Amino acid sequence: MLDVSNVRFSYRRGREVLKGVSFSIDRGEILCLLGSNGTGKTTLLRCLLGFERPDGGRILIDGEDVTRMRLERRARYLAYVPQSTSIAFPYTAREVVLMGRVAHLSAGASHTARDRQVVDEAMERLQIAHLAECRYQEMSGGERQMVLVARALAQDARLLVMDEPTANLDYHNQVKILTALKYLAGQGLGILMTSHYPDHAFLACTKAALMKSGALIDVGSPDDIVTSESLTNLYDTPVHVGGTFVGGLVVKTCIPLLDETAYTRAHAGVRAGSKESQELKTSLGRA
Amino acid sequence: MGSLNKGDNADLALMCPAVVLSLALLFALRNKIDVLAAGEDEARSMGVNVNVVKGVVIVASTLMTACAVSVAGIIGWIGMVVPHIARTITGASFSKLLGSSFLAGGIFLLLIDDIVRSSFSDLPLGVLTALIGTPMFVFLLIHTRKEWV
Repeated sequence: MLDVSNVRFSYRRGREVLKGVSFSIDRGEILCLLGSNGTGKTTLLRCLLGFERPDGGRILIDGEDVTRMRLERRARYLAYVPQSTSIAFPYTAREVVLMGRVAHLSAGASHTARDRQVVDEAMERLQIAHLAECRYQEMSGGERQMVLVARALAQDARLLVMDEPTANLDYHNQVKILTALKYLAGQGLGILMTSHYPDHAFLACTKAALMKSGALIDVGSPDDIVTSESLTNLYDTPVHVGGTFVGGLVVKTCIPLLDETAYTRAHAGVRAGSKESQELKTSLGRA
Repeated sequence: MGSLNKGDNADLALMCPAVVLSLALLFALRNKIDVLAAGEDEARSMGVNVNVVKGVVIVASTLMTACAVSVAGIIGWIGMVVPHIARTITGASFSKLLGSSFLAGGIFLLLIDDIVRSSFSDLPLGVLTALIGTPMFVFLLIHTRKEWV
């Protein structure tokens, strides 16, 4: 569905922020873009959304060039979910979600019964129908984020582009958002999200992409490419990827380590096939 | 500082087309103006051509203001205070706010004019609107500052 090939971009001449980025997302896929601050994740999203025009490369969605689409048309393909931003003036949640329908309105027309129905459905699907009449400004970060997802849903786009959807949220709300994303992907939407939590790649994503200094080092299934080595290289910080088994299922998790010694030891253990990791393997087999 | 004494039917006929046209333009854009509240990038991602909407809003509101000022003179503080009061009554959605501000502004001006006519008839309207509007504006600023961020 989304096909990004060799995208290059620089804000200033001679300082390239994106150095030839290529990846693709299909219907039902959730791609998690990982990388440290300032590697160009947000810039990449801005290029996809048409806020910036790439200097080279192509961004196709269902075979059509995104950079040449009219704004209204692009809004029907790509929906943007920003980090829970503030909205000027006391709009209610329903009004905020209704904003997502603006690309479907004919010039000067009012919202139709169909628009209102889509809005109600979007809020019901995300289980926030009870918040409809609350003021957006008075909501918590988690509720705001859900409203913004509902707005993107009401936009009826095929791909959701999310900039750190779980930033600043507690565990409860992180899980809520991730569950919602999985559910939406299950219904055929494609999702591209950035995150600073590699754990989320394991929990919810079907694909991960590692970005370092403006280029993708690796794209693939989280189990294959999110490893101790790759994360340590990605963040220039020792990170250990381990597994815990929860009710017969192995859940992988990432632990940043404060000193190199711990990292070397943890690593030697895994590589040598320590007792712990063998236990994990056998339990996996049994499950 | 403004007065309604000098306006006549000829002035009204002259300003009517411009005001009606501007109102119609703003009304046609009401849903897109709502989206601007989310910020320009987000508005763009929802399919709104931000520069066009901004341009039309600026031209339309300038035209209306110019019409009013050229007939009645400078009567300040109505445009500054009334829309915020209207918002507390009808909510933020621009499709309702446009009409309610229009009516509330008119009602406020007539009230002021009545007060002036029945007390000290030589007082310019702008003096009274400033006397009432300034404290109101400060009050609104303090109480709704959080909401405007």
